[in-house]
Amino acid sequence: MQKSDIYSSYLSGHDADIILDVTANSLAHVLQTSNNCDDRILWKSHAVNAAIHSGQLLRYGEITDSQGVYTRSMPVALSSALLPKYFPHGNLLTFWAALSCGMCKAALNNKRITPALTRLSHIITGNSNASCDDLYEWTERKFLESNAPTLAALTEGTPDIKDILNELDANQSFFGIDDGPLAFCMEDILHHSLNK
Amino acid sequence: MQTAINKSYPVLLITSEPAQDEIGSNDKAIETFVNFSKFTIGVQYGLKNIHVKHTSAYPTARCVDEAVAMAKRGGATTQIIGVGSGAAIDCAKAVSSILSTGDNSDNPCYKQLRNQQHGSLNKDMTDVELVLAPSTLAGIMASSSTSSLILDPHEEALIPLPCTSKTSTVAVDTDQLTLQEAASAIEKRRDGRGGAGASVQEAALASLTICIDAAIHSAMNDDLENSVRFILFEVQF
Repeated sequence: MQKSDIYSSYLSGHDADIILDVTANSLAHVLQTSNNCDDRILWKSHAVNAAIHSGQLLRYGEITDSQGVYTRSMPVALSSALLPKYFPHGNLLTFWAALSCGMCKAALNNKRITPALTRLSHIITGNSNASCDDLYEWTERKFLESNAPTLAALTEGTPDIKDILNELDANQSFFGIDDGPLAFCMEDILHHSLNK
Repeated sequence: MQTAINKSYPVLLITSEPAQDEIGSNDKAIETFVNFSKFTIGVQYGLKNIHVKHTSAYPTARCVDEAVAMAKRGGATTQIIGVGSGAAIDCAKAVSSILSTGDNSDNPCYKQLRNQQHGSLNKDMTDVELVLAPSTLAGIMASSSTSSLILDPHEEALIPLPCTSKTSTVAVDTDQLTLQEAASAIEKRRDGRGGAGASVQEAALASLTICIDAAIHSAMNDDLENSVRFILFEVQF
């Protein structure tokens, strides 16, 4: 060991944006530089950093102190309902990676999200003039370069999109969770990711 | 990690290992990491082993309940260590959560998964020390998230079980970490070897998916407060 870095982390509503920025910065470094880069320790530390912080951004529909329920993250909702049944060849991270382009495309379709997505685009592409479209192009390029399997490659046969959407609905009902407007967003993600 | 564990009390150690058909493959690195950790932790804390094996990619309510029963039989109800991939980390988190509720029924995990769906999760918790040593990026992500994902074979769904441990320590040694290259992951998939883990690039793309999702939630003014737990990370480079 060359160095021991010990730190504690507490995520609150206030610093969630900071965690988001840190994650975006680290994942961009991992995808922009190769494993053979000069500073392999830095590359590894960014890979670890991205994993630590993105884990903190995930929400599972937890019950709040006031007995309300948080909206769950879309990757969590999709994997909870679909991964074991429809995508048995994928593990959790491969499945989420396969959703990246679809997630970006679905976000592009919602104007309300544009400011947050533009900010993310600036951090990830390293270009302060980058638009949401640039982020989508960047994501597609990096997805192809990584040779990650597509969602279609992780399925068994050709699942019917209606069956998949019904499974998502059933999952919401079973767990007593309402994904609300995000349900439409998830439909977009699946359509794009499955090329339907 | 050493400061978090009290040597006077028994410890339940949960580890992962590759499936039989993968031994000899690139997952040997994970196996080596887990065996090394088992050995060093065993020597350090004078652990006596009781071997129990579960074969599934995700922890199930049944395997969590069996681990809880074993912890109770061995008196290791206050200290849990999880070493290895995401499944072992999720299982350790789930076991610590069940033990912290003090539920003495036969199948507490199954019940808790059902209870939380109806909003009646027990809030009177006892403190259980949880120490996690992930060996993969998926394990690291599982360590820092607020819930475990438990496979329900009947519903064919992954059900989140909130991690109720008030504090947990996560030890990450980047020298020992198994970082799979994209080429290796592709080769394993082409050969049809099951359980091929995600490559570093895939993990980064997964993080990107989570980031965009978080940006969407942020734009919709969802409040992230209270959905969190305190985690002490020890990252060694």
